[in-house]
Formats: sequence, C-alpha cells, structure tokens
Amino acid sequence: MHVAKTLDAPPTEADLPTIAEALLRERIPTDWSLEVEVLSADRRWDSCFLLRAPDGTQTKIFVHAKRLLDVRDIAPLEEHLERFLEFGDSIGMVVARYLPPSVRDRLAQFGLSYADATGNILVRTESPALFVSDRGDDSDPWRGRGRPRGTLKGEPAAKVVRSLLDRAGPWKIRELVSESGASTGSVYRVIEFLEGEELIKRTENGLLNIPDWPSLLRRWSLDYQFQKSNMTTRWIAPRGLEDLLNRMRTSSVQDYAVTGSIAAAHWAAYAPSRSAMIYTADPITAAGEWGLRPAESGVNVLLAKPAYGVAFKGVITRQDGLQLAAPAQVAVDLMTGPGRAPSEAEELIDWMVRNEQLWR
Amino acid sequence: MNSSGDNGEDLLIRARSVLLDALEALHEHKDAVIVIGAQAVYLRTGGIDVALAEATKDSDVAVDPRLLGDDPLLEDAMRVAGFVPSATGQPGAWISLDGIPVDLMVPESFAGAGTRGARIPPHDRRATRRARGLEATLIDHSVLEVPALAPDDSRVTKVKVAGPAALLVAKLHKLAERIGTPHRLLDKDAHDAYRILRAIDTDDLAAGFDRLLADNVSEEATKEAIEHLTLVFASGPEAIGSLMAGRAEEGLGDPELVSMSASILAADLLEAVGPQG
Repeated sequence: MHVAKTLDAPPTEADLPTIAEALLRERIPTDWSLEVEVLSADRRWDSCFLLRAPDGTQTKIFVHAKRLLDVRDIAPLEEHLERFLEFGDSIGMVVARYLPPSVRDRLAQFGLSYADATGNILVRTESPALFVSDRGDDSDPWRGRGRPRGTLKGEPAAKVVRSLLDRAGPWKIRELVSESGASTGSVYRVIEFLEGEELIKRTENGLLNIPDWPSLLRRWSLDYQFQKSNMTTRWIAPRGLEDLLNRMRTSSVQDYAVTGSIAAAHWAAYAPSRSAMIYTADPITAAGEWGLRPAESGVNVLLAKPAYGVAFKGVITRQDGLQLAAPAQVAVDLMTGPGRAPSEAEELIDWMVRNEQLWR
Repeated sequence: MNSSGDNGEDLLIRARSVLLDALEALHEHKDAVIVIGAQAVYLRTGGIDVALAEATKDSDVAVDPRLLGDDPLLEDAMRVAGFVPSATGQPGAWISLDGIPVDLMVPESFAGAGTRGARIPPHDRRATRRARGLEATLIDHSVLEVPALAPDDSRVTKVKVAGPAALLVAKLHKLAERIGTPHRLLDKDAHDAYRILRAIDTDDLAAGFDRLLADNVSEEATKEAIEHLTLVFASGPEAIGSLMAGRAEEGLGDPELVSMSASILAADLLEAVGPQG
C-alpha cells in the first residue's frame, strides 16, 4: 500500500495506525511477520501490532495515534504509555501526521518508537531485536503555507486574550503581565503570535494596540471551545430553565457563571433560550443543588468545569442575583456552541461593538 | 360557521367565554359545579414556559350529585342559556350556539346505574355523562376567580376549580382508559399531565395525593391513578405517556426533553407519595 506521503489531503487520526503499519511492514526483514490485532473496546490504544521473528519470538506494539505532537506533549505521553504497558515484551509507539525534528529527538531520548505519515520512523524492540529507522520530511507538508506556527490554546493564551478583550488598550507589556496573571514568557509568546496574525499592532512608543477586538475574539474561538476545552457534562432541568435560574439564585452554590444564550440575553436578547451553558467549579455538587438530572438525550443544560480560571474573571451579577460570565467570555462560548448559538454570538458581538463603553 | 381556520388563541378565548356562559347557566347549582379539564389545567399551571401554546375548545365541568339541588333541572338550565345537546348523542355533551362544546360529567361512583349517562334524578339521564377518575375533583378543589379572556368581555366568575392533584388523577384515568387505542388527539392530554408535573412542586402535588388517598370518596380512583402514573409516565422516557407528551411538542419544542422530564418528574412524584397499601 502507499504511504500517506503520496496523498494530497492530510491523513486523519484514524488513518494513522494503518500508515504506521505500512511503513513498518515495508521495513522489516521478509521472513518476519506483522499482524494487526483486534482491540475490543480498549480505548487506550488506537491499534496493536503483533511482530514475530522467524525463531518464534514475538512482541506487541501498542500504537497511540495523535494528529500533531508538540515537544511538551511527550513527557505526559511517555507516562501514559508506561502506565498502560502491562507486559515487558510489549512496546508503545507514537504515530502522528507529522513529527518535527525536535519532537523526534525528544521521543528518541525517551526511548519511544514513532512514525509519521511523511515517512519518519523509528522502531526499537528488544525481543525479538529489531531496529528500524528512516527519514521522511523535515517540514509538515500539510501545514498551510505562510501560516505562522502557534495557537491560542492553553491557559496563558486565555488569560492574555481575555485581558486584551476586557479592557481597551493601549497596553504596556508589563501591565498586560500583571493584569493577565500569566508568566512574562508566555505573555511574550502570545504577543508574538498575535503580532504574526496582525491582531496586535505596536504604537511608535512600543505600546500594544488591539485594532480589531472582534477578530481577536474570532481567532481565539478557533482554539478555545466551550465544549472541547472544558470538561462538560450533560443534564436535564426537568422543570425548565426559568425554574433552574430561580434555584440557582437561591442555592448555596456560589462559584458559577452562566454563559451562552441566557447570559447573552442580558445584553442582546435574541430568542427564548432552549438550553443553558453554565460554568461551575464543582458540577456534581451544583447539579444536586439545582435539581439537575444526568442525561444523554433531551439535554437542556451543559455544565462546564472550567479548564481555566478566566471563565470566572469579571463575572457580572444580574439585578436578580444571577451571576453571568463576562461578555467576551459569553461571546466566545456562543461562537462554537450548539444549535443557533453562533448566530446569537453575532448578535452579541454586534451589541458589544455598538456599546463598547458599557463593557470594555 | 367560523369554526374552521381559528388559531389556538382565538379558540381559547371563545372557549373561556362559553365556559362562563355555562357557569352562569348553572349558577343555581354553583356549589355542585367544579371546573375540570384543560381549562382547569391552564388556570392551575399558567405561565410556565412550555413550547406548546395553551389551546382547547372544550370546557369540562364536573357535577357533584351530593350537592346538586333539584331545581332547575340541568337540562332546562342549559337549554335556557342557549346550549343544545351535541349531535353525537353522547350524554352530557352540550354545544353552544357557535359550536363550542361543554361537557357535564359525574364521577363514576356517584353516577348510579347505567353505562353512559349518569342517573341523578330528577335530572335527565342525558344531561350528564359518567366518567371514571373524577372522584378526586370532588375532594381537591378550591374557588378561583375565572376571568373572560376576550377584550370586550369583563366577566369574572368565582367558581370551584379542581386542584392539580385531582386534575392529574383525572388525566391519568383518561389516558389509561384510551391507551389501548393511542390517538394523536390524546397527545395533548399527556402534555397537560406533563404541564401539571412541571408547574406544581413535587411535594405540593404529593401532599395533594396524600389527601386524596386519605378520603374514602377519592381513595380508589387515586390508587388506580398512581398505578397508571407508574406505567404511563414514570417507567421512563419511552413510556407511552412520556412519549405522547413529547410528541405533542413535535416541530415546536423539544420532544426528547419533554419525554425525559415527564418521566423524571413522574418518578419523583411516585417517590414522594410513597408506597401505597
């Protein structure tokens, strides 16, 4: 079979185990065999290969597929692999779409086998003894041209972006460090990225300006998503949302913030809300206090345990006592929310543009 | 006449006016008269945010034979006020001049012998209809001020209106009786039951059930209703009543959410009422 190197479209995570199998099969001696084992309901691994030498010795190769991998992902990954490799005669192997040289070096240092879809491969087994090494590309052929590296993923980026959104500049870097609470190093990295994206402009005396905050918000929403970035759980409020909000106002749970369309309606009413999106530090306790029931279908409440503390930054208390997330947080949550949430996000942003002095 | 092409809101306004007409007609018997059915459900649950609009053209009125006087005869009172017996020939089914139905019903255990019409002499046996499960409405009711809804109608009538527990008992009997031939028209009855479960606090509803169980008049009907509640709603979102309540919101709201909520709230109520002897 052809290795993905010849494909135009980037391989998906699901393609990767097959690609790794093909790469390895092409490189083992002809009298060795390689079989793919069926993994029933074992979600810890994406695939498992059984490698057998002519003398009958064999080893299992457990495959972990990941679309992209950063240097900083490797230590936790190694821990993960160690934990689940139960037998001495098995090894773990990482497969990715593309592994940059820095990542390959680090994987080798950790003694991990790897492969990527451009043909980079390193597989070491002890019994039977096998050493396979080959070179593929040294740059990601599927990465868009001219697109700078980096993302706004992670807590430091969230802290910096929220600060830049919540208060109009211009900013001194020192102010941004203290306001955001992020480390100086990560503030610089985020600034550098945002400059590359032209979302930050420097004034002549070196201050930072956000020329277009809605674009910054949109860019952040590519890397921060209510349901993906946070641990969310699904619930039913069997008496409806009005009843839920009443319970929330009078319950003892304090560390929560309503986001999504219910919060947005405080500034820009759009249509009656059919579902609630709520941040809470302790979803299980909150659900109990608020009379929510866990559910897979008919869900009308999503509870998110916030990945980053910024979700609670700038919480606003409505006149009736209900706590709402800050407008910028609500807007980014709606942008990638379910149903008609994205169009509610547009309504809210429209209001935010027209009433900047009221929230920024 | 103008009975087709109405939207639900117009119908609700007209139905309320006709209900007030009927209550005026039965004024001499007002102690024996209790508003039940969908109109009573709306009076008890008004203002909750469900996707299905309040809509009914029927007015259902229960008659308590124990408090009913002999004069005027029910059939005379209704005719004088302009009601005529329904063309269906169904006992107790009356129709206003503009075609809005009013049903006069007597709880089965007070309806005497017979199969359809209630035997409550000297009133005509075709004036009222017997119905199972209405006993609870004789026990659980309170006087409410019922206003007309039309802008040019300023009438407000004080009348006994069945309480939430009795209304739920009655709906459960209606659903259980016809569950063998589930018809889409029954979906709204299932949704009415869900309305009650949602609008009324579980503990209040359970207290209502407890009172009904403690009274000889309503004990039997209430026990049966609790069995129906288990089967029709509390056994899960797939139970027939839960499904029907959800289906009533098809294309308007969220059927799955309604089905789930109805079964959850029904199970809560069963738990709060406790095991029945």
